[in-house]
Amino acid sequence: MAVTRTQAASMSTAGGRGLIDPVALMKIRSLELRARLVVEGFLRGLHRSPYHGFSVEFTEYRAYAPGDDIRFVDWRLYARTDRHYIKKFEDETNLRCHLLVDHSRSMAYGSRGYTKATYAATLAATLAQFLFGQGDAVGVVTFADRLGEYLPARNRPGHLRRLFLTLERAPDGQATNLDKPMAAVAGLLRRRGMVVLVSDLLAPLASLDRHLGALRAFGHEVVLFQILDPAELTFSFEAPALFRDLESGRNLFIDPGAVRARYQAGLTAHLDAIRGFCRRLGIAHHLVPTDQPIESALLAFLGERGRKGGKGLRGAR
Amino acid sequence: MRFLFPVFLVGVVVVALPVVLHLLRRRTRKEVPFSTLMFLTASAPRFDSRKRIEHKFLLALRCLAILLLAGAFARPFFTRPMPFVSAGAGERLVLLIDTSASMRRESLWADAVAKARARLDETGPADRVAVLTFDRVAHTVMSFADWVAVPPGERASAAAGRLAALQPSWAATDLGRGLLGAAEAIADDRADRKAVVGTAAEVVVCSDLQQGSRLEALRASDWPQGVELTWDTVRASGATNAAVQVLSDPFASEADTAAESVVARLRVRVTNATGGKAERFTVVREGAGGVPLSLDVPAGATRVVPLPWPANGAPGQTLMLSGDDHDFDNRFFVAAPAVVPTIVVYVGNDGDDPKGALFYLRRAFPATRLRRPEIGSRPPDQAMDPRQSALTQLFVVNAPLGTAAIAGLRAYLDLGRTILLVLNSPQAAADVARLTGGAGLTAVEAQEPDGYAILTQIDFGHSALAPFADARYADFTKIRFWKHRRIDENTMTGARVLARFDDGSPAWLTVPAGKGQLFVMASGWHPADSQLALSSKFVPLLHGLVESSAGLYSGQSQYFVGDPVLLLANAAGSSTGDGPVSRRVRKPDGFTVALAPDTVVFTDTDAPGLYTVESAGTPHTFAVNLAPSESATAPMPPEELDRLGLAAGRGGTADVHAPRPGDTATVTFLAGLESGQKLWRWAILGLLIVLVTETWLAGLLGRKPARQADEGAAS
Repeated sequence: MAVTRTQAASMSTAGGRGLIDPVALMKIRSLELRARLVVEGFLRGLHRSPYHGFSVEFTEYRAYAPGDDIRFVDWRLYARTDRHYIKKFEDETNLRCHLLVDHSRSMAYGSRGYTKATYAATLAATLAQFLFGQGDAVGVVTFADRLGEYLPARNRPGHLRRLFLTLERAPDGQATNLDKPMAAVAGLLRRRGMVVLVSDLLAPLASLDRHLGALRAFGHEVVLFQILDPAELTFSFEAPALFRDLESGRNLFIDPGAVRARYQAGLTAHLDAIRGFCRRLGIAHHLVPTDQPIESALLAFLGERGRKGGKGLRGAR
Repeated sequence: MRFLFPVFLVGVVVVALPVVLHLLRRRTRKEVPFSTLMFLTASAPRFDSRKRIEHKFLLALRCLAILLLAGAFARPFFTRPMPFVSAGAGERLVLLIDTSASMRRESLWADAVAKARARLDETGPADRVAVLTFDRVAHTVMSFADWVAVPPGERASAAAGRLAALQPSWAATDLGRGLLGAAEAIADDRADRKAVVGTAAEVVVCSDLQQGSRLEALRASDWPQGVELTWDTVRASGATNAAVQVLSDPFASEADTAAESVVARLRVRVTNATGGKAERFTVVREGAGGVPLSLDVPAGATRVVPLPWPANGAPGQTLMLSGDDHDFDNRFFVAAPAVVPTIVVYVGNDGDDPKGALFYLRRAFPATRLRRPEIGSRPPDQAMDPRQSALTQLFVVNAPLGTAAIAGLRAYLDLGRTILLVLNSPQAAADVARLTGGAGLTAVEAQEPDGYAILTQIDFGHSALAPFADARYADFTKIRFWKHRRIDENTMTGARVLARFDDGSPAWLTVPAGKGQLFVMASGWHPADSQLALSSKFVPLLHGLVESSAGLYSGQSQYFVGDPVLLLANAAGSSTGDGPVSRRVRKPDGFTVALAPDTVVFTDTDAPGLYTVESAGTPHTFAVNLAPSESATAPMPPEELDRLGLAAGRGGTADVHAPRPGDTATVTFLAGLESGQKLWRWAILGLLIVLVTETWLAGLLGRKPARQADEGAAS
């Protein structure tokens, strides 16, 4: 799964072409419908891929053994060599993508009529729909302060529906603790593939870089979507109020005018730290405000993949 | 406007609190959820000291709520100058003085008169005053008209002079009637257009307000608006008062012997009024041979004890009680009940034949202790002496009457008596017209397709049938009538049908005749006609007819002061053949009252004691006692008056002067005035309205900043 540089360039310019307003999109109740809408609209705007999908690729021969399906016997080789050989084919999918979606309570915040969790679920579902359409195996792992649900990466009929159901669940975790779940994920995903982390990352980073580094060391390609509400980015509150932490429930009287500068400095430092270790570890980091169309995030994702010279976008149709 | 508890007005200073809070208020109360506070530090709570007050209307509402609360606790009321003291327009005052028997205790009467005189002395020349007394009923001593007829300077002394001539009676207390009498006097005077006077009116009650006062009369009517009520109560120093009352008939023993030594057991009830201190009392029969009986009765309790009593003693005796502080109710008079002769005359031809009606009539009137029946018989065509027939209590006519008998029976009916006419044949219906002098009845012999008829549609409103009104006795359907005469209803003029046969024809009816009435039966009770004589209804029916005919009332065995006493038939105003008999009643104080010949009710029972009816025959004694309620001398609980809306100050439109400090009467009056107006209720109602409005408004204003905050956050 990859996109060519040319395609990525063409997609990046598609940002202005009638992207779906997230407010309107989130009003659709069905997550599946939201994902399909984004993906289909997105694909309609792409050129057709010059690579026709060919998932059945020959890899090697193996000597026939009783019990093997005779349909896979290479009769031509038998004619030439008088021996029975079985043709082995390449696996239908060549990418195993796991979506790591944050289900902590901080994701339940939203100032635009929908929460970050809804946005993150839509983004993850969109990616899953897109990848699944290419024949890639997609899995999902939800986490908060510990690992939540785990759906192994598959590309089977019905799997996408289960995946959507998992993503649709409301955030029910407590605090965001990136340390434990990341350590668990590193142990869980042994086979090489892609790991897409969708989270607000509003938690002490602690040893997140170490765990992400471990994933990279296993050969995973790691993509990080950091979902933030515009209000979190700008802290545009005006009136002093009693602010309640959604995760800890702690109340703090805050005068926004007095603390805004310090807040933004703290957030910038936090984001810089994230960007720093992402750059160091070769992780693609996408900061996605929730007022940004989902297609933009998808385009950025594919553009990034294109720049890295991935295998390209197969099966785009 | 004044306040009953002005100290609560100190609470008004709390009004400053919402003002300060509106000026110095933390800006936020709203909670804003946020994803994380990890980049945030707490700000110091900021208070705004502002010179400009926000939400002025809200502040006004909060201040108003505090003012209303303080005002409600302070119990406001409107005051105006005291009635009957004002120098301007005069006002009406009714002095209502209790003259019941309980006012005979100690110096209560003198105290009440003194209070009334003090009130009279306060009246002004423009006031209109009436003086009323009450015991069982209200009596006018001096009306408003009498008051204004006297020169202004002499009015108070004239009224005081009339008061001085009064004495307490022996009657019971009916405070309700007394108050209604006073209210009516005021209403009548208000209707008098010539009386130029203010609208305020006051009733001052000088009474001991004893617990036994009756108030039932007030329950049926509302106390008039604008009439102030003031209680000037008098209290006796002695707290213990007991009374004795005989519950059973002392001469109920059926002993035939005339020996006085035969002893009956008399059931005596001793009641100790609430609040009494003594508990031991002695009851003894006055006169020789009385054995004192000591018994303990706690205060507020009642005890019934048996007392030995000579079964055949004097016709009137007295029971004495001792041991309490007040002796006005310590004597109970007991009289032997009179034996009432019951004279029933049967007009018919049948002798003592079991197939005839007379046979059953005789057996319907057995001799009892209090009744001495005499059943006579005479042929239907025999003339009768009107003086003899006047002593008869019931004529039963069961045969077509001869002309000679008609005049005597019509004279009998004119005395207000009843004749029972049995239509034993259709021809007998003609006698109805002859006896009543009006239109007659026509009747035919009825045919019974079922073999018998039964009674339906009984009218229990008639006094003879009233005893059957109870559902347990109201079933007449078991009586079968083999024969009856069908009376043509079109020929009945002024008749009242008391029962009908199941074919719809009248079975029993009454026809007015002169002062009396004709009770007509369409079927007899002899076996050929019906089973009525065998029914349990037969005897009560005939006795009911006798009692309604003779005006006897068998229910009352004791008389209290003021009760009318029915004189017995042999003592009532009738003639016996030798000319009018002079009759008189000797009262307990020795005075005699001559009775008119037609007097049947004696009403001059104004004192307790033994009354003797003296006539040509055996003198008859009856006892009149003090009403038991009069012995309940404990003060009436204030709640009783409150329940009837008679708390002091009721009416509430009268005016008062400014209270004089330390003047208990004035303070009490003010409390009564406040209680009558109850303005605090309106203050509480206003408070609730203000609080609801404040809550709504505060919610509305609270949502607005929150919305603004959200919008700010979103932007």
